Amino acid sequence: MADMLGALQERKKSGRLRFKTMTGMQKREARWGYIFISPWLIGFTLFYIIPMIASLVFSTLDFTLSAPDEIEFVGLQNWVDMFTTDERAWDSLKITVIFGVISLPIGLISALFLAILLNSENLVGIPFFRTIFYMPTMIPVIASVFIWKQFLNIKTGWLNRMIDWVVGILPGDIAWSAAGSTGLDWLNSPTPLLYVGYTLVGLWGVGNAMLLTLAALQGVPTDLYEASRVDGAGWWRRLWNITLPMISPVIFYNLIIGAVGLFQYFLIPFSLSALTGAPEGRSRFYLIHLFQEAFAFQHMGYGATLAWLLFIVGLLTTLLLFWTSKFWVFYPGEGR
Amino acid sequence: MSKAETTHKGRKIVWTDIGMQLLLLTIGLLISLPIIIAVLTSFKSLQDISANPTSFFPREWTLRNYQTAWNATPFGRYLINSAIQSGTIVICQVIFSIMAAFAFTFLEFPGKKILFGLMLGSLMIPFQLTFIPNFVLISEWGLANTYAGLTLPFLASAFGIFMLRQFFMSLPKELHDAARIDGASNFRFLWQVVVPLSGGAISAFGIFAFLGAWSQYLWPLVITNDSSMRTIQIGIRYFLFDQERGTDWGALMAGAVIVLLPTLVLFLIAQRQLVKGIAMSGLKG
Repeated sequence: MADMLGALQERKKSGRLRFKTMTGMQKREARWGYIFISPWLIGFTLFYIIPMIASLVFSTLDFTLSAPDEIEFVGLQNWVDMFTTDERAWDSLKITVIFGVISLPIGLISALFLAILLNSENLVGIPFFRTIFYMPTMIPVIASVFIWKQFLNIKTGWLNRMIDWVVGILPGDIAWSAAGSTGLDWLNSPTPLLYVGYTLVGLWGVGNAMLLTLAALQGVPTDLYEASRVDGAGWWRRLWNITLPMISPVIFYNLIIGAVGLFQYFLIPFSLSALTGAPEGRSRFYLIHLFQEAFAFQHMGYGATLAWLLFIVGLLTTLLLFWTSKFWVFYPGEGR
Repeated sequence: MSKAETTHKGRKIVWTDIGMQLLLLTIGLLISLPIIIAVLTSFKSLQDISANPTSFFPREWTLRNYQTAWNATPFGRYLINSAIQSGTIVICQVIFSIMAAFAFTFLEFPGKKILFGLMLGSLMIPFQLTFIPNFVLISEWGLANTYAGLTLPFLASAFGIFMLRQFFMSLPKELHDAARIDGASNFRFLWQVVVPLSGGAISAFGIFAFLGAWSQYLWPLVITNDSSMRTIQIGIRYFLFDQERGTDWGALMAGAVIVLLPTLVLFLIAQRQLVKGIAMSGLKG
């Protein structure tokens, strides 16, 4: 794993550090290092490591929370079941990945686009718009889901009405209506449109990524732009050659967090269609399936097994992304 | 000749600015439309909300929803609880994240790579995996129904560490070398150089941490059963899952508006810091 984290800063070229062979100054530095990470390390051990081990033990048991005395040891049966008989688990994993392929790029690009817009010079009312753009992220998810249900309603929703209005003023015979019973059913059609609808709902959470990208944009040294302006570089070239490389650490962060959010995608589908997976199981994301098995069907042991699989898949994805970061993430602090 | 060129260039810049401004306005309008609808809904009467098609403005303006939201649950108490819970979590997360991110970026110690890998890996641990064991642990310690129980598992944040580390990594390496040559301690380098230069990122994380804590639902729900210890989100969802009367959307929206307000105030304050980040970053070049 250490190899894969190649992005990590390498200050000492002398190879691995060993406490015994370190100089006094190095020892002092190392001591500070341990002190500084100790609050996190304690929390991590207590509330992550121990629960994970407990969870691994749970995955070999069959039990319910309501009758904790009737615990039965089943060995690897949960794991075998998951790999052989539980098709829903793999379907839901597939759905989650498909949704991610649609929603992650849209989310990342939207965040970047909004941040660039908010970072442009000479515009009026930037602080006001910054607040407006971030507002949706502040609204409790459960309330925003209700808002979106209204907004995306097939007949009465404002979005379909607006599309109709736009199509209506187009020249020519466009016999196509977005609203009405044959219109765009954003949240209930068993087609990829469903995932676009869900992506729209999720776009409201893009505020964090936007704000972070904005902070990164403001950290790009202005003299880099001035130099390139002197060289006659256009807007696109400046974006591609200066801005994007300089903020790539933050784009990378947003990508990782996006992947984390994807594998833990629960509250929005849960609020939209509860545990039903409607329409036709297309909204049965992985955690919906897990939640149903663990809490609705009370298969706690099997739920722990599913959670472990999710963790393994997520971890492998993170490692893969970290490996790719070698090729496109640029850290100004290193390699000079 | 040169004069004509400047006017030409000047006009070009103005036109792109106008285009950008219009874009800003359009997107602002698109984003605020659903919010405006939600706020208007909170002022609508019950019949008005269920009417089909719904009207944009309330047919009659009413504060009934706000009364319902405030009186149905001990809303004030919930607000105070949420403020204490979120405040504690934010302060600890920000301080601990700065410390750990600093160590992972600027300090060398044996096992650093492995620890950093573990930290990243912990991001991928689904909440569902640690949820029940944590519940058992906190209950065993007798911390159910206490502020400690509400906050303890969330005082350190791998998200914050990773995020701030990404920002610290983009600070020029020369800064650290210069500080070392000047004989500045790591502590002084952290507080007098790294933190001021990362003001924007740190305040952004402060907002995220607050929002994350403020919108927690499942954990406060299971770790508290005493009404005096519950948090605001549970108050809100009371309206959604009220089996007898069905969902009271008006009260839900009113509750959402009340819940939104503290976050909005905090954001408006933190925004100044975000802007300060711009002024500071001039140093970086």
